[in-house]
Amino acid sequence: MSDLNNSGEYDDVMGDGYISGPVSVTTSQIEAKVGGSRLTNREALTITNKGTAKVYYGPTGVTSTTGDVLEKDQFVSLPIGDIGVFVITASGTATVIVQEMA
Amino acid sequence: MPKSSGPVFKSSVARTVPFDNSTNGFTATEVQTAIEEAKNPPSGVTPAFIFSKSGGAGVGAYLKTGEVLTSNTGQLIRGLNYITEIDVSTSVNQTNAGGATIQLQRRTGLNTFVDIAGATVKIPNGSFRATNTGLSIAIGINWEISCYNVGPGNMSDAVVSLFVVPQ
Repeated sequence: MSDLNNSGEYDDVMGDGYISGPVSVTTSQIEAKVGGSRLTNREALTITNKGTAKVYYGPTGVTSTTGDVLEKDQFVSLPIGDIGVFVITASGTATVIVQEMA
Repeated sequence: MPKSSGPVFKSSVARTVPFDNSTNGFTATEVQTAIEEAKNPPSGVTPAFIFSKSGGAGVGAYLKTGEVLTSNTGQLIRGLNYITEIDVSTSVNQTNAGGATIQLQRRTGLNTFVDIAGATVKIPNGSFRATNTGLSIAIGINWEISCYNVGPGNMSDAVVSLFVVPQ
């Protein structure tokens, strides 16, 4: 059984924020976030590749050689907070849907 | 107690699912390409008929697919396909300076056969066979296909084979 915090919420679910939006990915890296800054107290991030070009994700400085690949319609869910996750294509452009949860 | 945000999870798509090609003649190594390879065999497949004519095939002569000279009947190809290759072979070298050209025709229903643009293969003077490859000629649904010698040269014991792939 999960512990309760002082607010009466269960500790094993997130309930402080949920945002979603598209990011246009090119051959120059861009951070996968919704809006101008990361969601406050972010706990998880999902990236879904809705384009036809492969998208590579990873920490800042990511390239198509160092990043992990997302094929068309593939998504990844990362338990990551206030650390930037960046996306890039090897060629062409793609749109990813980014969702942040806190 | 710290909150748990769960492990890293990445979804699968056909292109990320491995495919074992060691037992089946496929070249694909993942499922997406394997399915596409099954739909479109790289070399194409030949329909279950060829065109041929024992003896001479003068200018304008139609070749057969059986006992019938296909000037007013043809052989059916079902569905939507592409012609990828046309081969012709004869028993005697061409002696006409212009060689001899095979032209495929098509019809639907009881309409007149008409030429299929680009569906030709030419045996040059001095040769007995020819191949026209790298084609991508769309065949309509349920076309009947026939085949005749355009000339200018005559042909002897001509055999014509088609290769098609599904659209």
